[in-house]
Amino acid sequence: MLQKPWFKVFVWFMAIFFFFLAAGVVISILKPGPSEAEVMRFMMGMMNAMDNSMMGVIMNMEGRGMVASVIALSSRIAVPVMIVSLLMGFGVRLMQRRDAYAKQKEN
Amino acid sequence: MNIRFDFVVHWLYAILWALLAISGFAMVGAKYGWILNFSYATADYVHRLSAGLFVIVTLASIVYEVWRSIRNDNKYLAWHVIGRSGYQLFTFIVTLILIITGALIWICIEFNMAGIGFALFVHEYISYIALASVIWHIYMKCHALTWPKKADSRKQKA
Amino acid sequence: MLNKKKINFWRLAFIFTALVISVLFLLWNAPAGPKASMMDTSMGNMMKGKHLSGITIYDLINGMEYQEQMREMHSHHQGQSPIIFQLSYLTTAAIFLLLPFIIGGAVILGIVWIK
Repeated sequence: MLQKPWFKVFVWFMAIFFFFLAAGVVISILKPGPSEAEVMRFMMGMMNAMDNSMMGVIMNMEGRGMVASVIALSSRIAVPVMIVSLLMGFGVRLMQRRDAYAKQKEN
Repeated sequence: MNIRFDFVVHWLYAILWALLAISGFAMVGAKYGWILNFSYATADYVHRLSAGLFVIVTLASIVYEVWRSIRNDNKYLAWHVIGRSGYQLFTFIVTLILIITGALIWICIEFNMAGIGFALFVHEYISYIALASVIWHIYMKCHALTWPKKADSRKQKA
Repeated sequence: MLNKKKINFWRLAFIFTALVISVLFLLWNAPAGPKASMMDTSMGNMMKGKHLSGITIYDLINGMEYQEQMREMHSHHQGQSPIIFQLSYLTTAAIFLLLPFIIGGAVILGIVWIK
């Protein structure tokens, strides 16, 4: 799979993409401070996002009831899930130890 | 051709991480806005959608790991994104921190400015570290970038 | 250090370093517009400066008093199309319902993996 030409192209694409990102971040950090125009465009974009993207929905009145109920539900299931996973973690650990012990005895 | 779960997850994870990174860095501040041409709405949209997929992929790989440890399968999976040591462990921890702080930002954006301040700060700095680590990962796995010797490899396949 | 196996990495690294340096050179030499007086740092740093100076864990838990103010502020954003609502519900529900399971799974793996 890794030797297929199309996959090589994909891997190269990903590598170049990440290099581009790193270069973009370095440029952004080191470039001269944001000008008035940049800040204005950024703020305009943010205002636009309130109206045209999900950020507005999350911050919105109508979204609130739903978001609140989902968070309530997830925090209600969080505690039982935690307890179950703690028990399961120790259970799996014990099981692995038992298996290792059995293997040792076999040998 | 057998397609392995860890291989697929690795590349899905890479694609999602790239999408999340480019849209996230475009939202960091006014100095970064040029990355997506100051289109905050697009960045927000892409970031939220890929965050959902990212959570699903992370959960799938965690469930896979748990299932493996239940079956007492200690074989090292070279391609898996999470694991018990090295870069796999680093990815696991960073992913958890990013998901948890991201969720905090998601719910705190309407109230609790202290929460969102803390979460944004951690989210931003962890993602710089993660991006640097990705470059390091590319360096370590650089052999994946060498082009196959065409003549003989193609003949062997055929 | 520059061995044959890593040549592709160094190729990429040199190209992008050259790119970064030349772009920065051009940007610093460009005629500067008026400097911004606000929003001049990243969101994380800004939030840290604005809201995180002298804060304690107690404040993290007890921040609900903002809610009323913010409700007033955002009540006028109503113009979204339905697909955005649906996608937003879907992603929010996916993330917050799966989050406990992710943490639970992480707890299991933590317990199993620690020597």
